[in-house]
This record gives sequence, C-alpha cells and structure tokens, in this order.
Amino acid sequence: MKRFNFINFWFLILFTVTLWLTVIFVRISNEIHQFSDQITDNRPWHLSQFQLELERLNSSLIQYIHVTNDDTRSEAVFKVELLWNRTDILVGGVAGQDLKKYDQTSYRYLKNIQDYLNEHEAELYRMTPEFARRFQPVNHAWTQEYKHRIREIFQRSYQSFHEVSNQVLDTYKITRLLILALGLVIFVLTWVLYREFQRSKQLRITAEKASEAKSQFLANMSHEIRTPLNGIIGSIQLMRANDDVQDCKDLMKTLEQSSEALLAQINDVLDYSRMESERHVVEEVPFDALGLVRSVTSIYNAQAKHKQLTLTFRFEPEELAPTTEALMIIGDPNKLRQILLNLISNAIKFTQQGSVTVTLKVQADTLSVRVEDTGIGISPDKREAIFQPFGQEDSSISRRFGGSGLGLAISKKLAEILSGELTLTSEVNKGSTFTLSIPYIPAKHEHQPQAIETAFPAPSELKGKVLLVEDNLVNQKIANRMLTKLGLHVTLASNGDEAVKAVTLDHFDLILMDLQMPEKDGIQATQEIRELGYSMPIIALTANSTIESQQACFEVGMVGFISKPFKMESLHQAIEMHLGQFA
Amino acid sequence: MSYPPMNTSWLHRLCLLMIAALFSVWGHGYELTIKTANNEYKLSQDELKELTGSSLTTVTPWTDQPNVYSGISLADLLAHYQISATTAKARALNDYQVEINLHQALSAGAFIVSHVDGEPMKVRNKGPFWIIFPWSRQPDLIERKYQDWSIWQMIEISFQ
Repeated sequence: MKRFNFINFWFLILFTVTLWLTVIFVRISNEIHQFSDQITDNRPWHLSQFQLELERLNSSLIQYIHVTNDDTRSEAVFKVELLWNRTDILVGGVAGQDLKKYDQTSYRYLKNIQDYLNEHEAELYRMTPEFARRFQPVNHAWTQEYKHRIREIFQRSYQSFHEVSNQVLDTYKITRLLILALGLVIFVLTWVLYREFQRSKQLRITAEKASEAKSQFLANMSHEIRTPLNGIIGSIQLMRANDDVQDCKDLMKTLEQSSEALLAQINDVLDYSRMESERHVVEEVPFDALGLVRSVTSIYNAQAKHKQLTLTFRFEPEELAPTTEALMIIGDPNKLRQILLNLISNAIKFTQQGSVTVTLKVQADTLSVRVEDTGIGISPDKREAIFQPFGQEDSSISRRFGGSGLGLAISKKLAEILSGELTLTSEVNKGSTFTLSIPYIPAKHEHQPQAIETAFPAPSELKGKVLLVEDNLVNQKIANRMLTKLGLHVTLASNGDEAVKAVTLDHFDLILMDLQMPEKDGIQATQEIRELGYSMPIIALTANSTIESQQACFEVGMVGFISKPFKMESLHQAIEMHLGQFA
Repeated sequence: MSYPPMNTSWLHRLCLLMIAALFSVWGHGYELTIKTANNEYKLSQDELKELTGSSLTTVTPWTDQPNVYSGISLADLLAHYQISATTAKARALNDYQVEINLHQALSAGAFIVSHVDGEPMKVRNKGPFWIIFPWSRQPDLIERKYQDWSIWQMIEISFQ
C-alpha cells in the first residue's frame, strides 16, 4: 500500500513536470518568434549605413564646393536623398518606435536631422553653392556627433534585443532544469518499477516454489500415510480370517508397528506446526543422556542389519572423567530423542553401503552428538534447503527414500529450542555428518533412568462415574471399552446438547469431552455446564491438537487435554490425576 | 529704385538655373532595367505605372501609415514580358544587390512600385523603384527574408 502510494506520488510529479515543460515550450517558442521579429528589421545594418551616408554626403558637398558643376551638384543632391531615406527608416516604423522608447537623445538627434531636411527641402534640391557652403558644416557637425553617439545608439538599438535574448535565455535555463528534473523523475520511476517488477517476479517464483513444495509434501504425506494404513487394514483382514492365536499375535505386532509409524508421521506434521507457533516449553528433568543416545541408536540395529550397514555407537567422555555407565544431565529427553531419531533414521535411509557412526562427545558444558554416514551426501547448494520445511534435496529423493521432508526442519527447530545448534558437513557420494551441539547441566544426584518399557496399568484401579461425550461411534466404542476396563462407570452422550442434559439429570465425577461435534461443540457445552454451576473436572478428548484449541479449552474451564490417538495409560494417568483431586 | 542690370541678369540666370535644376531632379530620368537571358528592357517610372495601372495599399515595416503604392505585380511583369525564371537579381542605386527566390516572392505577392500616393517616388522616398509585399493584408510576411528582398532605390532587375 505504502509502495503503491510512493509510485503514485512519482507519477504525479512526472505529470506535473511534463505539463510545466509543455507550458514552458510554448512560451519559449513565442519568445524565439519575438526574437526573430527583433532581428528582422536589420537595425545594425541601417545604423552603419547611416554613418556611411553622412560621410559620403560630406565628401560630395566638399567636392561640389570645390568644383562647382552640374555633375557634382546632382551627386550632392543624390547623396542628400540617400541620407534622407536612411533617416526616415531609422525614425519611422518599428525601429523608430524602439529608439524612441530606449534612447530619447538619439531619437531626438535623428528627428532633428529629419526635421532639418524637411524644412530645407526646396533648398536641398536646388543645392546652390551658397547653400552647400552653409549646409556642409551642418552635415559635418551631424557626422561628428554621430561618431560620438554611434556606440550608444548601437547599444540602445540592441536594448530590446538584449531584453528578449535574456528572457529566452532564462526560459532556456528553466527548461534545462525541468528536463533534468524530468529525466531524474523518469529514472527514479523506472528504477522503482524495475525493482517492483523484480520483487514481484521473485515473489511469484517463491510462491510457485512454495506451492510446488506443498503439493509435493501432500503427495509424500499421502504416500507415507497410505503405507502404514495398508499394514493396518491388511493385518485386520488377515486377523479376521485367522483363528490361530500365534498368527494373530504376529499380525497384532505388525498392526502396532504400522499404527506407530502412522502416528509418527502425523506427529511430525503436528510438531512442525506447533513449533511454528513458537510456544514450545522446554522440559527440565534429569535423565541419562548416554543411555538415551545408546538406546536410540539400538532402535535402528535391525534396520541397519537389514541394509547390511555397520551401525556403531561411540562415547567420548570428557577427559579425566571417570568412565561411567550413565551420564546424568538435566534437560529435555524427549526433544533430544526426537532429534536423534530423525538424524539416525536419515543416515540409514540415505546410506546404501558402508557405515553409520553415532558419537556422543562430552565437553565442559556442551554435549555433542555426531551422526556420520557414508551415504549419498548433500551437494553444497542444497545444504540450506534441506533444513527448510517441505524441502528435500529434490523431489526425486523423496520418491526414492520417502519421508515427509519435515524431519530436518523439525530437528533444527528443536535444536534451537534447546539453545543448541545443528550443523552439517558433507561431500557428495562420500557421506554426510550432522552434528548436534547442546549446552547441558549435569544432574547433581543420580536418578533412576526413566522407564522406557510401558506396562498396562492394573485394571479396576479407578472408581467413579464418567460422562463420555463423543459423536464418532468408533471412538465412542474404544473410549467406552478402555474406561470400563479402567473400572469406571460410563454414560454416553453424542453431542453437546445431550451432555448438558445428562449433567442436569445425573451426577458425574468427571467428563471427557470431544471438541468437534454436531449441534453443540465441546467448548460451548463446557461453557454451559460451568454456567449452570457444575464444577466437576472436564477433560478435552480431541483429535484437534493445536496450541490454539488447547488454549480455548483451558479458557472455558477444562482441566486437561488428551489428544487422539491416545494410549490407555495416558488416559489412565489423566483421569487418575483429576479424579484424585475431587475424591 | 533702380536695380543694377548685372543684378537682374544674375537673378534671371539664377531662376533659369533653378528651373533647370528642378527638372533635372524631378525628371532625373531614372529607369528600371529589366534583363533576361536574351533581352533587355528599360522602363521609366510612369511607364511601369501604366503597364497594368494596379496599386497596392499597405503599411511597410519602415513606415507608420498606410500608403497607396502604384506599380505592377511581379507576376504581371513576368507575364507581360513572357519571362520564365527561378531567381531574380535586383540592384540598387548604391550597388546594393539581392537575390530573390521568384517562386516564394511570387506566392507572397511581390509588387514593384514606382509611385506613392500618386507621386513618383524620389530617391529620398526609396524610389525610383521599390519591391514591396502586401504586409497589411498578410502580416506573416513581416519576416526577415521578405524584408531583405524589399530592395529600395532599385534600378535594375535581372531574371535567370
């Protein structure tokens, strides 16, 4: 908008200057015309001719006085006539008017001569020797005076000439200035337009690239989601047609793996958009960094073995530090794990033969994990792009190797959140090395490593009446079964209206509330229940896991947030926590 | 009172001389010489005036009042002598010369005049012959080119 005004402003200036210039051009052409008018009467020529006629008459008169005959007499008369003619020309017409205006003295001088000639017309034509003797001194005096005056007369006769010429010169100067200004304005405008053009071109290219990357991303996502879904649907079908318990357990394993892969893929996308909102909380809990890196590495043992790659883990402790079995530090194990999972899985994915080496190095206050591979490497011009969201090295890579294209973008972002950095050195066809460096604080006390293995909680541990508000029948069934298994008494409601109605009719210890429902959504229902004065804990149970929706839930008075898909133990934990408060 | 005979005779002689002088001035006998490639014509002021008997009333850049100028248009003069030419060279009493583009001069309506307000033009009045243009009718002819061609005190014009 501002830019647009700027261009408008310059266009206005351009228009004004052009208009002004046109006016000036009209003026200057008028002035030049006037100027040439001034030149037309050829005054300097007449002035010099006048002097010549005076001199000639003088010598003719002297000649006549000395040698008096008809020839010399008529010659003298002829010369008088020529002088007379010149005098008339200088006194009359435009020349006379100008002279009268600019030089009264000279005009009077010429007028004097004209008057004398008119007065003595008869005598001049008769031209007796006697008159000639009288006239000669008069003419001589005119000649002498003219000699003295000529400079002044010349100058005066040029006066109007000068005025017009100065005027024209002034106008010319203005014109020159205007043309320069015009040139400048045009230059600036052209430059701005050029810049604008370049900018929009750049924007267009960027937008096209972004849109292309998004389409590509969607295609990848679709592929990545369909692959595990195929595993899930296929397993279910096989299980239905199979009664063998052992087979079913195998299939269930596949089912679980596929589900996990699907969830991981979706989490990648969610993680990224969550990180985009810049509201990431860094956990500060004690954990065993050495154990974590080792265990993450070992997750990929099977995969590496399958591809016939050597996957090694090395620990380089701080010098002089005792070799320990555990390295307890305070930090965010989940984020660190996520980064390492990404890096190692990438390393294995992009390496066809050779090795992948994970090195944990501990320095004074920095913990660095190096993931080296002997894979395809990354060309220098792509090293920036691979850290961009949706940006894989090129689209052929994703077809060959799969992936959402978010892994490195997420890892880099996570590294930044942990106040660390993620760097890359690489050589095409030799391999790549990603190095994660994060500051760390050693834990004072040895803590028990966090249990990685998850166990189902003991059934019937919980007691109470729960209202489950859920519109989707499948989700309703699953949640109902899980809650019942946890030992809770469940009442069902399919939308917000039914939930509010149920609350007024019965007593509930806790409500699990879906957010997106027909008729009345979870937020509205919660608001109404709170307005009616009920204070039982309400926990959101939703597939909508954005920060914004979490915020909205807490604002209307919900106490917890469980995102779908959920595991039974997380459901158990959340309910246990809130039931406990009101028990 | 008696007049010395010598005196009378002197006065008489002076009168005669005066008349002779006047005649010699009035009818100085200036003629316009018209030259073509093969021929040469001479015209007195009166003869030129009588050729077509036309006149032109105009103000000139050197005069303040309109005057009636008698003479012949350049076009008529050429027609009269059946002259076809592209340029004319005009010469004045004081040997001033000017070359005239006939095509332009004819389309501007050039006029050769010998009389002003019925009187033969004297040398002191730009006579005996003067080329003028119809400035009053066409003010755009007040331009250096036409003013240069307006040769006064002309005595000869040759066509080429």
